[in-house]
Amino acid sequence: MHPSPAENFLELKNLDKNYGEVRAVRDTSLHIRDGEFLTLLGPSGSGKTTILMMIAGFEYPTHGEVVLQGKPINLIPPEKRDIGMVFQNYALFPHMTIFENIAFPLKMRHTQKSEIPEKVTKVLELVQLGGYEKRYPKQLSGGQQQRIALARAVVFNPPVLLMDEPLGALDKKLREHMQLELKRIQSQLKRTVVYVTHDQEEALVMSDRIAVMDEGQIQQVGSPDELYERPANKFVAGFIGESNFIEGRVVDRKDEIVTIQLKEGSKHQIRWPGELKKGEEVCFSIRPEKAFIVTRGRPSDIALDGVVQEVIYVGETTRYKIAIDTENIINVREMNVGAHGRAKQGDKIKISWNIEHLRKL
Amino acid sequence: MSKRENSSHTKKRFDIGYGKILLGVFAGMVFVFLVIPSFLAVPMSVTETRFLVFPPQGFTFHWFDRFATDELWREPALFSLKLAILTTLVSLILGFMTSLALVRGSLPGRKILNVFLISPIMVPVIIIAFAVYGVYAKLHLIGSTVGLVVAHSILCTPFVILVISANLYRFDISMEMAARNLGATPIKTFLFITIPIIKPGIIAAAVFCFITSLDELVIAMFLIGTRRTTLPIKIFSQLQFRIDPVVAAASTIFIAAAFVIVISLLFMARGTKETVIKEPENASFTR
Repeated sequence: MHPSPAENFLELKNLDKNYGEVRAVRDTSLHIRDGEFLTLLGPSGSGKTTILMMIAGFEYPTHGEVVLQGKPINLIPPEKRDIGMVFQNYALFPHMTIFENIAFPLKMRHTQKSEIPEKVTKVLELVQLGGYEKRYPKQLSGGQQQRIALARAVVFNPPVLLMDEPLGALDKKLREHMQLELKRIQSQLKRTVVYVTHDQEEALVMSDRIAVMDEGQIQQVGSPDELYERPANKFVAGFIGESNFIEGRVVDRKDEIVTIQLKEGSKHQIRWPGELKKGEEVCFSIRPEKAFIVTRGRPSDIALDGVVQEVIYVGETTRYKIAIDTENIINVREMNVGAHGRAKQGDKIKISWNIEHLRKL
Repeated sequence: MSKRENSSHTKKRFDIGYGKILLGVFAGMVFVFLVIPSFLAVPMSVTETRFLVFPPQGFTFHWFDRFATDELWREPALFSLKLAILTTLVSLILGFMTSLALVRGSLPGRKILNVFLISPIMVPVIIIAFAVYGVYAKLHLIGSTVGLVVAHSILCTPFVILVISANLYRFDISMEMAARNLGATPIKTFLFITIPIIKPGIIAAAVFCFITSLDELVIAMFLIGTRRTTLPIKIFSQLQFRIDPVVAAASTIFIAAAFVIVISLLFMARGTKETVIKEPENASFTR
């Protein structure tokens, strides 16, 4: 079945990008929907910026095709693509005023001279910097420069807006403010955005969908909660939020009770209703906040025995590091709601969870 | 504790004072040995005597009048001006294109090529003059304007390459990418973004070429031929045979022109101050 035009607004078809021996992007395909905020998330060197550069036209794919609104655009030079882009360092022109900066794309498109001031004023109001026309970029703060860069990238109504770590140079507080600000502007403009970041929190806050990248390949695409709740593999589970991994070989299985031999030797019994064969290598993951400590009574789901190694109080939560054997530590995070006393260092406890929160990767 | 702080403080202040004294001595020497002698030409140019004297006697603009009207002075002055303008244009264009290739290109052996292209700076001018003379004699280029412009450009282009390359290395390439992304063709990007941003470097290079060519004596003497002469050669030969106050008048005009150029440059540089300060900031962002 062919995806509808709205589902397939911008398509990456089997993109490859090699730099000599280095394969920066490998066989990457992605459908980006009309009006969605899609984030390419990954560590540095994962190929996310290279993909953005191929969409913008600054890199030519070794193989594969970029298709925008049904048209292949590989051969179209950047200036003819009509794609807006916000650069990491803003790339505002230092010799031009704010007005001239924002008017630049309009002038290049031969917009009628009489229409330019109105368009510039309107977009400056959108980014809440009305009245800054006559200043130079140097006279603005980092956050303001960022807004001007955004205004310049949207003033000519591009169907797609690309952003390359646009908040990377800002301090944490301003960054959080700008995340919501960008989100507001995007929902106002209803523009398709492809956003690149290595900050998983930023990606979770802003995106409709996230494509998690590693080693030049997309590991998983999904909404923030899909990625967090149902990570497809170990990389995604570890990169988005924290995860505990229980990795080993199945040595016994009785009904739903599975005995796993961990890599370092200790054996543990875990309840797992799904398919699993004796002798199979398996990796389970459980989020720290979804595991809980059972100090007395029999836990409902058979779980891991452990000894509390470290208790860290961080205000709203308490973090526990629990050793299940000499090599493996399970992190548990509990809300400090005062319903039960906290476990202490050295306590022998059990770690349990609701069965639906355990993921087999 | 406070004592130690104090002593280190005074020591630091002493260091700065020491440096300042050295700087002052140096500046004073430049002033006494270079600036004052040049300015002596100004009063000497208005003397009523028929030879150079100091202090000048009487007051007349006669020698300026001679400089402006006497064909023997006007011709070489205009020819030198023409030479300087052509040399500046040729050196700027060649140097700019070479710098682009050296900085942006992917030619193997760029670094060796760079050293080779800059080498004329390291060769004594008299040797360049002698070598070029030999070649020009065979090509019948002695005395031609083209020949002189080419020879002066050999001298000037390395400086253009040095200055423009440095500017291009500092130039944040994402400026050009942004311009392309916003709809500018490569040529428009070059004209509206690249050139204005490195304008201070271009101006500095242009002034250097202009001045270098305008007062170049050695190469010009070898290559000028017999039909005409440049202003520096004219001044030099005048000083050899008789000491004519027109020389002082010519020098005064030179000094005045240099002043006008330097001051207007300062104003231009002020207009582009934004750029000059902005560039390193950008560089730190791209990291």
